[in-house]
Amino acid sequence: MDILIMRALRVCAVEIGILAFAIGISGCKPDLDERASELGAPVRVLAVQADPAEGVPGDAVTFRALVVDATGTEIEAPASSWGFCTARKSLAELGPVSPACYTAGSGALSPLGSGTSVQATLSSSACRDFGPEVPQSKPGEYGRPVDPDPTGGYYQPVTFVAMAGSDWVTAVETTRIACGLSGASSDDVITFRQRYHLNENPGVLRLRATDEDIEGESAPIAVTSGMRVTMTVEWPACPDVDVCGDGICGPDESQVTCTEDCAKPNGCMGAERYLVYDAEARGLVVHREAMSVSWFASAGSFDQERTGREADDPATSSDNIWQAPTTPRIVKGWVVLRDERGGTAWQPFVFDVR
Amino acid sequence: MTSFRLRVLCGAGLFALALGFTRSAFAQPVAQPGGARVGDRDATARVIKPPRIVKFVEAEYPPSEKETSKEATVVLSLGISETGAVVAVVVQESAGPAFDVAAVAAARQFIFEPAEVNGKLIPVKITYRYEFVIKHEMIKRSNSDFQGEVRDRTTKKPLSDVTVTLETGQHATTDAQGHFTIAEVTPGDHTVTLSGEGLTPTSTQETFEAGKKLDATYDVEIKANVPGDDDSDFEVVVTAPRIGRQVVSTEIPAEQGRKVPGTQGDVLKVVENLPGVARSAVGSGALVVWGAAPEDTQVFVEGIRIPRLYHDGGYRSVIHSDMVKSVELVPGGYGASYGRGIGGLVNVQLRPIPQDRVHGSVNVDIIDASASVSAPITDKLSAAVAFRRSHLDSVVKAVGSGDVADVVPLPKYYDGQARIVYQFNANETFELGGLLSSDNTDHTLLGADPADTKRESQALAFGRVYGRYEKKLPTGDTIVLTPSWGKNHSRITDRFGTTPTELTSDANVFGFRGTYRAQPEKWLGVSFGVDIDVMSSAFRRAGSVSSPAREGDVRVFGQAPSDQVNVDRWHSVVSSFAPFAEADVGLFDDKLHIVPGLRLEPYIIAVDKVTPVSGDVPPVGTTSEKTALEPRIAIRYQFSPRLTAKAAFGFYHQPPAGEDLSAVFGNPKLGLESAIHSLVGTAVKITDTLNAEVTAFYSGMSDLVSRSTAPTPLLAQALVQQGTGKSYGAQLLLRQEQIGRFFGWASYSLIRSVRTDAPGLDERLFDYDQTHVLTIVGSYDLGKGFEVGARCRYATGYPRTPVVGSFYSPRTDRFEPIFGRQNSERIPAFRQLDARIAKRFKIGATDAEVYLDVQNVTNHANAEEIVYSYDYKQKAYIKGLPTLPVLGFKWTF
Repeated sequence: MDILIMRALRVCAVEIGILAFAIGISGCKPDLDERASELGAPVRVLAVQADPAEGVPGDAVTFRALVVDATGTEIEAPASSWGFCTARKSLAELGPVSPACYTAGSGALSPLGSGTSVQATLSSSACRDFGPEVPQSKPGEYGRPVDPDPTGGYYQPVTFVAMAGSDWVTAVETTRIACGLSGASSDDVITFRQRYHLNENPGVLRLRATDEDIEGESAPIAVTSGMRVTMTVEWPACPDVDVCGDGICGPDESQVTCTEDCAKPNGCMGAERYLVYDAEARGLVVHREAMSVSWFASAGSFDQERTGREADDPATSSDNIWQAPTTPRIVKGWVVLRDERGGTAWQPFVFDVR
Repeated sequence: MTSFRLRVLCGAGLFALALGFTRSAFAQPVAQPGGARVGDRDATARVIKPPRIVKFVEAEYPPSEKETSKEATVVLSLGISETGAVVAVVVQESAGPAFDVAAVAAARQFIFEPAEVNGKLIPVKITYRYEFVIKHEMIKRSNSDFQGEVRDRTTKKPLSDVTVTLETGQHATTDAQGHFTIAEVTPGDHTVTLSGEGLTPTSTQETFEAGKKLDATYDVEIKANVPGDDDSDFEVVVTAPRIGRQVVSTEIPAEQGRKVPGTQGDVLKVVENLPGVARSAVGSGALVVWGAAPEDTQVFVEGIRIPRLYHDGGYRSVIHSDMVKSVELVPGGYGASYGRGIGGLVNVQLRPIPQDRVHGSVNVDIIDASASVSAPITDKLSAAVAFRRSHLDSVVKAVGSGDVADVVPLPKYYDGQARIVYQFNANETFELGGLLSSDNTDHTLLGADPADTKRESQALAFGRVYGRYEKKLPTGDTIVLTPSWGKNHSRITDRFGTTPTELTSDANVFGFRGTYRAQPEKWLGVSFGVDIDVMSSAFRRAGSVSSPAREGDVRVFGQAPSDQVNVDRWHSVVSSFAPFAEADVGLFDDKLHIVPGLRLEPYIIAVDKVTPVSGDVPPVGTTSEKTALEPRIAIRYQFSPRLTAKAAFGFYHQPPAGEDLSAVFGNPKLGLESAIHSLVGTAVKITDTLNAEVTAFYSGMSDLVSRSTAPTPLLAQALVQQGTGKSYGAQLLLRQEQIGRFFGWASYSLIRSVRTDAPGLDERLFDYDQTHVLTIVGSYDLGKGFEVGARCRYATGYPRTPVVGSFYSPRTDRFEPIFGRQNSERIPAFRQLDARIAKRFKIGATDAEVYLDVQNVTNHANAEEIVYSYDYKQKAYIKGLPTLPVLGFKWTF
C-alpha cells in the first residue's frame, strides 16, 4: 500500500513539475476581474451602426450609436457629439486610427452633430485620405496608398463622444467606404466594379433563450436565480451559389448578368459572399463574411464575451450561456451582431430573475 | 596496509610552449627565475614565464590494476589556454587504457597560472608525466589529530620545510625528519595542500573521522629530481596568439560554463551571465549586449556566422556543449577582423577532438536529450558528432494536463554538429564540419469568436557546411582559411482573428574568412585577411506593416495588430567583400600595445522590386553599392604585472536586414546603419587568480532603421533610416578563477540606451534598456563528487509605454489603448536565486553526473510583462517562472 502511495506521489510530483515548467514557459497570466460583457459603467457605447454599412464618397450616411447606462437601458445622450476624423494614421501607429482622432482639442475632427444619431456625407476625398488612391505628395513623388483590411475594405474614422451627465466615453468608429482596388490590373478593376456589391448591415433573425424566442424589452423572460441559460442568436442564411432571380445580388452576378437582382443590389443580411482582390495571387476571389456576436448583460455572467462563426463555417447561429445572478432582479442585456465588413445590428433582451 | 597513490612529476619532460609569431626552436637556459628566453632565431630576447600549476587533482589508481600492483607512467600533452584552463589532453606515451583514462581525467581538472611571454598571457602546450606508484598508505587511527611524514619520492629521504595546509587555514611545517602534526582537525573532508621550495603545490583529499587520528605519508616529487626539468628542454611550438585580442571580452572555458546554475550544463548559456548582457525576458533568449538590439549582436562559431545562439525560448544553445571549448563575449570595440554588426559579438571556439580514444556522452533532462561521440579514426584522422533533440512538448502532452500544450508555446527543436579533422602534420590541419539547427513552435489560443482566435507558429532552421584549413609555417606565420556555405529558413505565421502575419524567408549564405598572421619584428605582429559574406534571400510576407512588431513600436502586450494588410514577395542579395588588416605594436618592453586596424567593406545590396507591383507593370529592381571604411584602434598599457589600462575606438557598420528591403513592408533603398564604439577601462589582478575589470563605454549609433512616422509616407518607404541612438555605461567584472574548489564571478552593468526615431522626435529609452544588471555566480566542489553552485541575479525591468486611457472601437468591439510618453515606465525589477547541485560518480571506467538545477529557489514572483483589462482600466503583471527544478543526467565516456 505504501509503495502504491509513494508511486502515486512521485507521478504527481512529476506532473506538477512539468506543469510548473509549462506555466513557467509562458509566465503566469493574472486574472483581471473586469469583463467586457458586464454592464456597470454609467455610460457605455456598445455599438455604432452606419446605414448604409458601406458608402461611396459623397453618399449620405446615418450613424447611430447604441449607448446604455449601468442597468443596460439605452440612453439618448443628447450631449454626445460626432465628427469625421480627417487624420490618417501613420505606419508607426499600431492602433486602428490616428491619435488625433481621440485627442481632445485635436484639429483633425470635423463636427457632424450631436445626439446618438447623426447624418453625414462621406467626404469626396475619403478614398484618397483613407483608401487606395495615391495621396498627395511632393511633385514627382508618390505617396503610399492605405492598405485594405483582409476583406479588401477601407474605412473613414468617425469619432463619437458619448456624454451622459458628467460621464463620457470616446468611441472611434471606422465606417467602410467603397473605393475600388489598389495595384490590380485594369481587367480586375473593371470586374471588381461590376461584381463587388456594397455591404449591408446584418440582421438578427431570431434571439432565443432556452428555446424560447425573445421578443424584446417588453416581454421579459422569467428565469430562476443562478440558472444557466443557453442563448442563441440567428441570422438569415445567404446562398452559397448565386442564382439570378433569388432577390440577392451575389458576387458572381452583376447588373449585366442579372439585372433582376442587381438593378438595386440587395444583400441577404447574413454572412454575405463578396468579391475581394487577392494581391498575392493577383486576382479576384470570392469570400464569405465571418460573423461575430457580442453579448452584454447588466447582471449575471456569460461564458464567453464574444462568439461567432468563421468565414468557412456556414452555420447561421451562435450560442452562448448566460448564468443568472443569484438574487432576483430585472436584467437587461444586448446582443450585437457584426459581419466581417463592418455591418452591425443589435437586439435587446430582458430577463426577470426570480 | 598499502594502497596506491599518484605521484606527479611536475613540469617534467619537454615543455612545449605555444607562442605567437615565433618560430619553432629550443629554449635557452633560464634567464631569470620563473622565466625563460626563447632560443628562437628571431626571438632570443623573449622572456618566457612557463605555466605554473595552481590546482592539482590526484588521479585515481585504476582499480583494475590494483591486483597487478604495478607502477606506470603516462606522458600527456596538455593544452593550456590563456586563462590557465586545460583545454586539451592528449596521451603521448600510453601505460595502458586504464592508466591513460585516469591520468587524462585528472589532468583535465588541472588549473594553471597561465604562461606569459613578455608579460602577455599566452596559450601553451606542455608535456606532463604522470607516474602511478605504489606507496604505503597513511595509517588512519582513531584520533582527530593529523600527523604524517613528507618524503622525497626518489630518495625516500624526509623533506623538511614543506608546508602542509588544510583549507581551514590550519597548517604545519615539516621538521628535519619530515614530520608534521596538526591537532584538532574537525571531522569531514578536507583538502590537504603541500607546498614548499622547489615543490609544485599539490593537493589531495583526506577524510577525518571524529575521534580518530589520521596518519599519512606523502611521497612528493621535487623539481631537482625531475629529469630534464630545466628550461633548456623547453620545446617551443608555434601557436600564434590572435592579434588584436579584444580589449573588452569575457571568455569562459567550457568546464566552468557547464557548472553555472541555470544553464543546466549548457556551456553557451553562460553568456547570459556575463557583464554587459541584459537579462532577457523569460522564454525569449534574446541577446541584448551593451544596449544594442538583439539582431545587432552577431554569433560566430569558429568565425562562421550563424543566425542565433539559442533555441526558441532560450532553453538551450544551438551547439552541443561537448563540442565547445570556450565562449567569448565581446560587447563592443572589437578588432577589424569582424564587422557587419553595430552591437557585440559572441565567439564560440570548438574543442579539439581528442586523439587518444573514443569519447562521448549522453545527456537527458526534462527539456531534451543529447548525445555526442568523438574518436580517432586513424593516427591523422579524427571525427566527432553530436546531436540533441527536445522532448519537452512530448513530455508535457504525455504527463501534463491535456490543454497545457494548447495554451503554452512549447518549442520543438533539434541541432547537430559533425566534424572531421585531418592532421597532415603537427602544424597543418584541415577540418570539414557541419552545423544544423531547427526550431518549431506552434501555439493556438482558440476563441469562441473567430476574431479572438490567436494562432502562432514559427520556425527557424539553419545549416552550415564549412572547411577550416590551418597551417603554421616554419617561419611562425599562420594561415587560416575558412570557407562556409549554408542555408537559413525562417517562418512566422500568426493569425489574430482574420488578420494574418506571415513572414517566410529562405536564404543561401556563403562566407569566406582568410587570415594570415605574422610577426616580422619582435615588437610587431600583423594580421591581415579577407572576410566575405554573401546572403541571397527570398521572402514572402503578408499581413500588417506593423506586425511583427519592431523595436520602438508603441504597443502593449497582446495588442491586436492593425488589420490593414498587404502582401509581398521579394528577393534580395546582401553581399560584402572586406579586406582587413591589423597590427600589434609592442612598445616600452611590451608594456604598451597599440593595435590599429582597418577594415574596408564595400557592400552590394540588390532587391528585385524597387516599388510595389501595380497593375500590369513589371517589377523593376534596384542595386546599390555602399562602402564602409572602418578604422579601429585598441590600446593597452601595463602599468605593472597586476594593473593594465585599456582603451578602444572604432567605426562599425551593419547592412540592412533582407526582410526590411520589401517595397511594401520596408524600403528597398535602405543603406548601412553606423555606430562608433569608444571604451576605456582597467584590469587589476588582485591575486594570482582573482581579477577585476572595469570598463566604461559609449556607443553612438546613426542611420538606424525605424518606421516612417509620416501620415502619408512615400511609396516603398514604410521604413526610413533617420534614427539615432546612443548607449553608454560601465561594467564591472570581478572574477575568481578556480582556486581550490571554488570559482565564480560577479558582474555588474550600469547601462543607459536611448533612441531617437526621427529628427524632431523626442529621445526615448531603448525597448531593451536595463539600467542595472547584477549577476553573481559561484560553484564549489564539495568533494566526493558533489558540487554545488548558486546564481543570483538582479536586473532593472524593461521600459514600457504606460497606458493612460482607452477608446472604444465599435467595428472590432475592442477597446484600444491611449498611450502616455513612450517607454516612460518600467516593469518591476527582476530578482532571482538559482541553485545547482551535482554528483559525479563512476560507472565502470566511465563517468556519470546527476544534477538538479533549481531556478528561482525562493519562488519570487517576478513580473515579466504588463497586461491590461479589456478596457485598459486595470493593470496587472504576468509573473515569470515559479520554482522550477530540472533534473538531469549525463553519462560521459
